[in-house]
Amino acid sequence: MDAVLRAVAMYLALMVLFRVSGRRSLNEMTSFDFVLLLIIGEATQQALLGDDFSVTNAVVVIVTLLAIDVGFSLVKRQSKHIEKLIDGGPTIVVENGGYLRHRMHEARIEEDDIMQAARLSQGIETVEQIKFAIIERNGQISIIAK
Amino acid sequence: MNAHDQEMQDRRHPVDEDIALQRRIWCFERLGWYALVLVVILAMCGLFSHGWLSTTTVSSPKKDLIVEYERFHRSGSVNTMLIHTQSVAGKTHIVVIGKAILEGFSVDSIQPQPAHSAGTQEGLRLTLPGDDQGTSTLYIAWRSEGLGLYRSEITLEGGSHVSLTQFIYP
Repeated sequence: MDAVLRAVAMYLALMVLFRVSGRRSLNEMTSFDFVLLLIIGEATQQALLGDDFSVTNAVVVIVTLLAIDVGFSLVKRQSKHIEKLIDGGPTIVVENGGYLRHRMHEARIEEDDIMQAARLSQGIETVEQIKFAIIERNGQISIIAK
Repeated sequence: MNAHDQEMQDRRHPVDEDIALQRRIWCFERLGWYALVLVVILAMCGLFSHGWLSTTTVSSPKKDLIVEYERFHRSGSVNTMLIHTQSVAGKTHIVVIGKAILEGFSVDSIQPQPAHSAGTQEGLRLTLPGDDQGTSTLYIAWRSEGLGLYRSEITLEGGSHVSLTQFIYP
């Protein structure tokens, strides 16, 4: 029983903590973010398994984590509101060549982040060439050129 | 309508926005950062073991029994408890550790080894040799195995007793 409780507690704790830390796409991960994820994984492993390193315990923990994950995806399919609460929604941060600075401030996005995404995806040089820049649910910035 | 309000209006194209909900999520994120900082500060202060909020000393009114221990423990971790006793020089000291503590903790190590130890209905009864000044000190490393709040007592037979309150985090 405690293996299931450990897995549920860690899943929920990590979900809240990653929600608090904000959206960040795996594509935009810096090398430090990668190291941080490794450390978090290491710290989580002990709490998930405790003193029990048996195959059964590992399987129970993995099955529980997958069950919660599938459960959440089913709940999200049932309710758009819950889906938005868990994953957030897309947010426009550049509209017709102009920055929406209040939104950028609240979303903690800099002009440089948007222009980097614009250069990488579309080879765009100036913000005037952007029709829309959108922070997607996975944290990536997508660019629609004029 | 000012520029800020205009900016915070929902757009329908090219994506369907719900800015009100998104702003609540951003607000939750900001509150979350403060909560993270608070957790770090409280951890530094010892709310989750080892710190001035956790490390404490309790002594009997006659000062013949002094116990240094941690109020907060984390399940599976080991913490040390020091039991100082004062009695008549040359005589043995009998310390009884209440059974409540034994329900939440197991003894990982005990130094020095008691001259005699026995399990009784009250708990663990340890016989310690006193030194020339009539004092003795016992070091016990407790491994936390339970969960939640534990109220227990340590008694110096023929002397005083002290009450301990300990909490084990999951």
